[in-house]
Amino acid sequence: MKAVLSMTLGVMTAIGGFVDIGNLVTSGITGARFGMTLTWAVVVGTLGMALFAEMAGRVTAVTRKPIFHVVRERLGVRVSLVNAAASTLLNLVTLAAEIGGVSLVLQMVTGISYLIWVPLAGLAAWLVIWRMPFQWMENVFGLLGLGMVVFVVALFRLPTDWHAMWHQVISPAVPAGQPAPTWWFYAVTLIGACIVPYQVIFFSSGGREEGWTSKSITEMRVNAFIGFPLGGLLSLAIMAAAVPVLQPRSIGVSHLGQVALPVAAALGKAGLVFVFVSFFAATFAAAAESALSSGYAVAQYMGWSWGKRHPPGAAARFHLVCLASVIAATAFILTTVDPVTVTIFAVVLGAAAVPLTYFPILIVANDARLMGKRVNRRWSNAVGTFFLLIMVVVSVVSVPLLIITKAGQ
Amino acid sequence: MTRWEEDEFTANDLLLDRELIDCNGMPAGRVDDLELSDPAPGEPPVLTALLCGSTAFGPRLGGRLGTWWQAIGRRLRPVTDSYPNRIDAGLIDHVDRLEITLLAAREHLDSYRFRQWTEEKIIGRIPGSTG
Amino acid sequence: MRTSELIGCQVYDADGQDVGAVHDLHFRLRLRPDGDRVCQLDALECGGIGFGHRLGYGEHAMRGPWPFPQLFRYLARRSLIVPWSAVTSFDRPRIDISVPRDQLRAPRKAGT
Repeated sequence: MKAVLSMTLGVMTAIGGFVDIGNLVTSGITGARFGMTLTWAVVVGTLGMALFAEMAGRVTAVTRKPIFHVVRERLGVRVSLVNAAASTLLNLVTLAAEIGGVSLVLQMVTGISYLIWVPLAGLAAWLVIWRMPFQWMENVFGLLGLGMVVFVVALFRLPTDWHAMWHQVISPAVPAGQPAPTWWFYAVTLIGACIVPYQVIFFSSGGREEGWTSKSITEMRVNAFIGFPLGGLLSLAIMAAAVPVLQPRSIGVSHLGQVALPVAAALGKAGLVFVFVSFFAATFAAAAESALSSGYAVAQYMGWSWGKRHPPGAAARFHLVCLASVIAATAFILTTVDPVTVTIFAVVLGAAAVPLTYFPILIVANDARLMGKRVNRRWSNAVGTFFLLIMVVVSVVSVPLLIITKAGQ
Repeated sequence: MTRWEEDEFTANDLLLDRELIDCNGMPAGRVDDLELSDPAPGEPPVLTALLCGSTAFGPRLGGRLGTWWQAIGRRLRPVTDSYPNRIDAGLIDHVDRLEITLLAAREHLDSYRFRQWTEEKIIGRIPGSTG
Repeated sequence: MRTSELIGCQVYDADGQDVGAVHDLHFRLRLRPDGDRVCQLDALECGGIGFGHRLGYGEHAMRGPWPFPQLFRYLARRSLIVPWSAVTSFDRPRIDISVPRDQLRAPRKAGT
């Protein structure tokens, strides 16, 4: 019974943890502009993330080391440095986007400019990293994030054209009047919003913090293969809710408030409470997690003590990196750059970097000496290689599309 | 007396980039490079120490980035000696595929200095650091 | 001296032919006359595609994904072992050996 409860909790926190500012923004924008025609991109991204996370989680559980340890040991200094540096840089951009996201949510609730909230959000995120116990952080924010299920409820209260939506899902095409490159660009952003490097680092390192062993593999797989896809479904619900409310009036989404509009229209103030709480929980947790992931990446690569399970003084350099990341990201957002734009850049760069971050894990998961009988089977290699190829294609087109469409205009 | 899992092995396989665990089970850094005795006629070089820290890591990285890393590492060191942090081969307890364990506690190793400096000067000054 | 001084050096044989770049060092445990057990540098591993070796494809434990094992094992066949006793001079970035290249063997773990 306890195992079932623990697994359920794991799944629920995985759902809440999957959705962050990237998903909120991209789902809102694409629903309003393209209807459900980009559902396939969310499916690709979600499955890819589940695959990526499972492989990383399995490596961590079997070797009892977090992925950056294993990557440096197997791939050597230079290759793993590129991997670690790219991941850290991406984490920083994502962290900036999440801090911006938290501030935007607070602006939605209070009406006070988001810039006032930015330093407070940064400070709060850092305090959580500094002192809040790991399990607490995961569970509290993960569960609160489930409030986003209110979008599913709203879908049933809105004049949703289910038939038309289903048609868009199964035969996707660029909607009339929309430029094709932009449609493809947003496909890339949706994929990038699902496969976020910091989430994989956090999934693996968090597994070490919780002491995963080979026995934890089933629970880990449930989190990855059930939790994440359910999170993907939530993103789709947010996308779908935008369709009856925003698309007919051609409301382009540029503010977070517009993403919440459908719930306000369907469920009034009561619904909005759920939106605010869940949005806050999702973005705030994501901010703490991406800062932690920067610390994980650097400390694990360099061989320093790392992790929240030690008192901060015992993992000094790890905490220094987390603190420095929060400061840098906060300073960046305070330059008044638009947080929504930062989010778009973060997901595009993330998508472009996936082959680099995924490849080492695929290699390590194939080492029978390390993995024993948990080494990759032929079919998981087939799926993994196929996915890697897709991500290489995505990676190649992402930056050109970014330039051609001027970040999605 | 050091215990080795295998009699014959390569540097990349068993030694380089490995995590070091001290006698108390705490992480003590990474093997960034290996120190060998100087070659003499009829006497092949032997492993004399494990090297860690940025002054060992820099040359391993090579190229301009490595030189730059090494220079920064030299500046940040609490001592003026530029030789990398050295862990004598006699301090190695056990080497296997998973990790390398040492006989000493990490507080007694050279590589502890950087960590200690960060702990005292920066993190230790923030309230709540002792858990 | 350090391993970082050895790895990357170009090795030239007795006839001046290029054997390859050092990408790994082979050690063997030896018992010294005074009872001490030391880790002795036995040989240098050169040539081949170092990257493939670094990824572990020189060994047989790597399963996939296709086509990496096939590709890297094929490239790793060009790797050669240079016993330390054959080294005549070491002057980074160059190492000279006394043995001609075709007398060097491949690492015994690769390819079998």
